Amino acid sequence: MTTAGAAIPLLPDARAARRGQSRARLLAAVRLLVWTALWGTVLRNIGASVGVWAAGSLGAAATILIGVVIPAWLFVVFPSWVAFRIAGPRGMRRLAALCCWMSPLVRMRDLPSISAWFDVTADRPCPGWDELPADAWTALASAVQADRRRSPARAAEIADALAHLPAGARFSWLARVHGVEALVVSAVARRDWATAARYARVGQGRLILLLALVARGIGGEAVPRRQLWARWLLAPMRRTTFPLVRALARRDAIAAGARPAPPPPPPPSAAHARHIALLEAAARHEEIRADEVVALAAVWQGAIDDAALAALRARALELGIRDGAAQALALREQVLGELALLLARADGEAARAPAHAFRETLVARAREQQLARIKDALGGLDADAVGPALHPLAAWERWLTLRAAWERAEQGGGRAALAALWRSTVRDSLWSYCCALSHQHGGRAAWAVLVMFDWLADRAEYVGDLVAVLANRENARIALASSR
Amino acid sequence: MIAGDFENLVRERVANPFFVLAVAPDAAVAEIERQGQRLLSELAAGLDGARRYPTPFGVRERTPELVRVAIAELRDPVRRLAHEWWARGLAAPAQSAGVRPAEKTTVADRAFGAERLAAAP
Repeated sequence: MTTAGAAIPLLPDARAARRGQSRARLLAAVRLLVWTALWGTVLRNIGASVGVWAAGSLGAAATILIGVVIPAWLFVVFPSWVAFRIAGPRGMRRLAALCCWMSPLVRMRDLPSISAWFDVTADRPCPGWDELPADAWTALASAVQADRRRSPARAAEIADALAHLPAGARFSWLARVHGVEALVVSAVARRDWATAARYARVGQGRLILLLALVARGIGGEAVPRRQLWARWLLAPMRRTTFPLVRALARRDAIAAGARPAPPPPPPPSAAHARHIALLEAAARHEEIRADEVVALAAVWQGAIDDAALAALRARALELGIRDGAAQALALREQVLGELALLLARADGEAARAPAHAFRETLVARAREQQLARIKDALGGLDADAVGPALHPLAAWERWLTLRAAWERAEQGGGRAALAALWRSTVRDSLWSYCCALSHQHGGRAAWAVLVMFDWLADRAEYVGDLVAVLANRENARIALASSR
Repeated sequence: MIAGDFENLVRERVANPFFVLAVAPDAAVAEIERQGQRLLSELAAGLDGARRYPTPFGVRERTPELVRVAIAELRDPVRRLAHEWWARGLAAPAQSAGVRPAEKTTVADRAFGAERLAAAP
């Protein structure tokens, strides 16, 4: 394996590949033929029946509506609407698959992945999963599965990766609308509005827009009533969402009528309570800002200073503890450790503040934890372990763990440490892993490999590794060509 | 990582023995034992009031196991020192610090049953 341009190998059996391609072309031609025959017949029958019925009495607008707009809607939108709004939710898997086959919005190669997505969203086993490629549909199916199995961290990693796909990585409109919708609804169903709002950023569509707005409202933002009702009116599932929208609109109306109360003054020292509030937010997978953690650390400085430790030592003496000083210090260490855990998990860069030993220790510990997490994640990315048994999507999800750990560390601003780690282990391990994945699975892994190579190139740019930038951009280009 | 770590930490803090036993942080050992036994008896008798305990983060469920663990924790002076410190720190300022109660009813809870949405098309 060389470093540059080695990602996409020649297929081991070129004849088999050519056979597969010609079969795909044949199926696509059959599909086109069926479309033409069916829609031609439908159009002819509509035209003939309406023409006989109207007997030349229709105006130009009505003619265009009946002769052009309705048939175009029937042809383009109707099959996918039936598949995703009628057949899929009612468990009619075969009808849903047939409608997708009839929809010009669905690519032929996406059909198996969409069928798998239907299976997963209906909580049914998916027998052909091992043969599927890694793509946006299978990634969304995996995210829905993770979310329902109470593994929202994994689902959030997938959603975040889908939100930052490189140019050219396919993420179809239908996947953005219906695939992401299932994810958002899954979070809403367990009333996790923060997660629902995060998922909604990836998607499009009327229901996602409505639920994102509702999530903002429930999160405390003021939501314009007119906008809320307009979105409700446009969205599907109106009967289900009506009580929610009505309750939110009423709440905002009451809040608007009341005189705004002045904000309560911040408590002088609420370190313990704020600490646990942040821990709770982290446990619920809510977003935590590094600034919040640093502000909490500033509050803690007063609450566990020398005077506080002296009081603890005195109390330890009353309780008959011999090494009271050590116990008091252990409590301070415990707090510092938990703060470091929070800071390592937090998003964004902490605002620069005057250097203080407590803060410096905290930042250093958080960075250590972040680097340790990167090394842990690298353990799962062994190029030698990539074999036929490792599904390309599973391999991609292993990379997501590294991606999440690296990007958190990057936000923390530890560029020098990351550059050292990059050159010592990350670059070669991940690069080899991507190449091995591409060699092993070929086109099935092309989408995943494209995303990973593009990320590799971006990270190489971040640490100033020009050779890796150029080589991985080229690898991403080859993967892109293979994924089309 | 690590959501599990955070969950465990939160659970540990909220199940502070002083909250579970509903005694003051400076309570004497005898008082703690007496209160623990009283709660165990009430739980065994199935009294409704004993099944829940208030914390600065909302009302939580109290079980005999939790009560026994709390009594055992407070028998160890080192563990007691730590619990005392957290209980004292949490008791007063929790509400003003914007801590969200655990069983707070939201607009969504009232209006939008989870099952209804999950079952809808």
